[in-house]
Formats: sequence, C-alpha cells, structure tokens
Amino acid sequence: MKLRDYLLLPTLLWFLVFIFAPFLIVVFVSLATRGTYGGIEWSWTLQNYARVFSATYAGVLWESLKLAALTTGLSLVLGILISWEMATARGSVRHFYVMAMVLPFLTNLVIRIYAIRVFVGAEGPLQGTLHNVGVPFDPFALTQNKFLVLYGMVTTYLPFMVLPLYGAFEKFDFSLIEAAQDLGAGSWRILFSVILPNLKKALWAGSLLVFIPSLGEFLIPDLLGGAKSMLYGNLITEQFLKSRDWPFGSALSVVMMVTLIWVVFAVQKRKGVSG
Amino acid sequence: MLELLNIGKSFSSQTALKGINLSISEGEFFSLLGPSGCGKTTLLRIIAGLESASSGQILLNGKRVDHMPAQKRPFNMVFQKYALFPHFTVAQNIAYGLKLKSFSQDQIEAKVAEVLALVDMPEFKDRKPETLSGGQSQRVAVARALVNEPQVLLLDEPLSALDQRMREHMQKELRALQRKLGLTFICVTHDQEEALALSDRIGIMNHGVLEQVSSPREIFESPGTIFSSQFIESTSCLRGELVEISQDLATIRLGDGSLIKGKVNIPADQIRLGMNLEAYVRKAMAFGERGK
Repeated sequence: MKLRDYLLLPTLLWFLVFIFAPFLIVVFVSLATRGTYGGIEWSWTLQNYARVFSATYAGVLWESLKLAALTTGLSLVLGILISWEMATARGSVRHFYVMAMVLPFLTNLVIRIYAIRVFVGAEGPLQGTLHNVGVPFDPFALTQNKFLVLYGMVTTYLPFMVLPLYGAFEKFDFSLIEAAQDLGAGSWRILFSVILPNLKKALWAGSLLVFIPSLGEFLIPDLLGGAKSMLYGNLITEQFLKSRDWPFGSALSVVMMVTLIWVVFAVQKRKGVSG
Repeated sequence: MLELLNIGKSFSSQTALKGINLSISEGEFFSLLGPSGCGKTTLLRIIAGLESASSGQILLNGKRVDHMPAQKRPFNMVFQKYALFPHFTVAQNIAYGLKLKSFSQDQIEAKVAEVLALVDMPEFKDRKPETLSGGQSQRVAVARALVNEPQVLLLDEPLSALDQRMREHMQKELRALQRKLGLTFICVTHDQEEALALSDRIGIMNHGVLEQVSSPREIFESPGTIFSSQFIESTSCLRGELVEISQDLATIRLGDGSLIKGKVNIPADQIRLGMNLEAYVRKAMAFGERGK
C-alpha cells in the first residue's frame, strides 16, 4: 500500500467507531423489547417496526416528510433568487451578503429559535403592536403554529441552500443568458433551459443539505409548533427521554436513516450528480 | 440596409458612445476597429439589442428595430467566448433557436445538418462543447447564429480566443462563408490585421466616436484623422508585378527586382499572374526577399 492509501485511514476509523458501530447498536436495540421499567430486554421481536408503520406513527412520518419537502422547496426558490443576487452584486455588497448569510451561525440555534418565540410571544413586540393598533388576535394561535415552524425551518436551513448555489452562480457564464436571448428565448425559458440545468449539481447538493436535517429536526417544531405539532424528530426524542422506550425509539431512528440513505442514493444515481 | 442614426450611450457618469451615424449595405463585411474601451463592443451590443441606446435610432431596410427586444430582432450574434450551452450537444446548441420557432422536428434536423455541413462539422453533431477545440467551438457558434437565417450576423471579437495559426485559418473561412452567403457581417475587433484582411469597409472608433469609415485601402493610403493614422501604423505603398501565387500568398516583384510575399485582398478569380499590384507594407506585416 502506498502512503495515499493510508491517508484515508483516520476517516475510515472515525466512520467505523462513531457512525457505523452506533448505527449497528441502534439496529440491535430496535429488535429488542422494552422492559417493564423502561430497560432493554434482549428478546428479539419485529414488534417495534410494526408500530412504526401503524396508522398513528406512519402519519407522523408522513407529516415530517411533507414539512421537510416544503422546507426544501421554499429554500430552493428563495435560495436561487438570493444566490443570484449575491453572485451578481458588486464586490463590497457581495462581501456583505456573504457575511449576512454566515452570521446566524455564530449564534446558537436554540437562542435563535427562542428569539422568534419571544418576538411572537405574549410579552413580545408583535402582540404588543397588534394590541395597541387594536387588531383582534388569538394569542395562543399566534404564539405556536405550523407557519412559525416552517418559518423557523426555512430561516435555519436556508444558508445550506444558498452557499452551494452561490458558488455555482459565481462560476456561471452569464453570457449564456445573452446568447439565449439573442436566439429568441424568453425569461422563463432561459431560466429552465439554460440557468437551472447548469446549476444542477448545486441544486441537488443544496436540497440534500436542507432535506436531511429538516427531516430529523425536533427543536424547532418543539419550540414553535407547540404540543399539537408532533414531528418524527420529536417522536424519537420522546421515546428516549420521556417514554423510556429505547427499542421503539431505535426502530423509528432506523426507519428514518434508511429513508434518508435511500433519498441520497436516489439523488446520486441521477446522471451527472455526485457528492 | 442597416442604418444607425445618431446613436448615443451614456452609463451613469460617462459617455460611452457619441452620435454614431453609420449605414451598412446588404452583403457587406463591416468591421468596427479600435482599441479596447473605445465603445465598439457597446455599439455591437446595442445593434443586437442586448443593451439599449440612450439616444438614436436603428433602422433595418427603413424600418425601426431599436424598440424591439433582442429576441425579436432579425440579427444573431457570435459571442467573444462563443457562449455555447455546456449542457447541450453541438446539435442541441444549434437547434436551440429553431425550437423557439414553429419548425417541425424533421425541419429542425434538416436545418441543423445543413448548417453543420456549411461549417464543415457534421461529425461533431453529438459532441459536448467542452470536448471541442477553440476553432471548432467558433464554427459551432457561427453555425448556431447562422441557422436562424439572420439578416445581419454580429461577431464580437470572433477570433481573439484563437491562437495565431488558427486565427489566420478562420479569417479565411469567415470571409469565404460571408461571400458565399452574401450576408451582412458586422465584426468587432481590435486587431487591425484582421480588420484589413476581412472587411469591405472599416469603421475606426476611438473614445466613443466613429472617427473614419473607409475601405482598407483608403485607410492605408490616406488616414483621415490623426487618430486613425496613429492606429494604422506607418505604411508604405510599393508597386510591382505579381509573379507567383500559392493559396492566398502572393509574391510581387518590385521595380528593383526585390520580391515581396504577402496576403492579397482580391477574390481568387480576379487574380492573374503578371498583373500590376500595389503592396502595402507595414513593418510588422510583410517581409521581402532580396532578388539576385
């Protein structure tokens, strides 16, 4: 073996010890049974998986998939517009945009989400203003709802869409747009036949970077969605922290990971997409 | 006939073009020559409709076209770096403009095949642009523009991305193509040699002003303005007899027996051995041999 073959070794070891081994443990636990007092009993069963796909819980998975897809779709549309503007802006403005995109990462996610909560909360400026102006509103519906969850998700994950797209737009040859105009193509046609096909890799990469964490997200729906909005991520945390049903929580995790791995492979299998 | 009437363009603070008046007749190879930043590319882009003029009118055969968007103008452009769509094959690139018009699939295929034959590239139909050399890309770019049957073909520094040998070769091809099709070509270049070799008439531009419009010969003989005489370097005119011609390289014998070799700007069918020729010699361009 040459030196360059050994260079991969640390990464491989890291992967084996911290990703593959824990995943195996989770798979084993998902086949066990919950003990009476919340422990793990090693009697093998597929009962947990049957529960994952029972009507109640399958609905939660479906809701989560829908939310993750919606978050990805919205991020995609906003990301294309924002990264286009960023890449075509003048030098100094461009640096400002990049900073503005990266800045939220300097603040912890919990604090950022709590800030939204405070803003719309009972003592917050939104309710105060509405009250003073005299617009009637339902304080509970305003504080926690599905729209807030979506808003929190999109603002949190948008940078993962914008940054790869910004890189692709920077390399994009804008004279292609002029060539298409010169050949008679209208704006929509140019967008779909010239611009988007040339950003394909970045579009897929950004979509995966948004979709994967969105599907497992539990903090944002917990803080902004209230008790009514149970998502898959919340379901898993509950099994481990509240219900003390580790085998069922593991089964839920395995199903989610298999779903995500399937999505990643499906995307990679598409022609011309890698990484 | 394409007429530009008093075309002006000013960007936020500075004037890029000042009162350009120009008329270009059908079937003419017209070059806009000038140093970089003189406004020649801006003028070409205004004709194409990719930029709008601040003032003035553009008339094609007496009808105004300056209010039309680029999409509607019967002009097509060959871009400086070709701007071929990298995700399409050569054939798809060429078919792009046709698909936007009401042609059937069969008609499109026939037209693509025809224009590929015209630029001598039929076997490259299914190649992607990234696999083409500079000269090949240039031909595809010309084919993609020509297939739409424009009334005027606009070329933005068409040969600047090619190396010296390829450039000379493509100069010949472009000129031959233009003569064959009888189409109006407007070509922007900063290379005098290119302009002199290709054009019927040359417009010399400087600081947004069209300084002089004349044939290559007139520019050599009597540079009209101070700027053009500087731009066209000092030139001597020598008279002699044509003694040998191979391809486009002519050998001329001067009065004292010296031989000069150089390119000729005369159609091949009008060249006869023994005819009197005037050789315009610039230090950088021609070289002579001492006779015995």
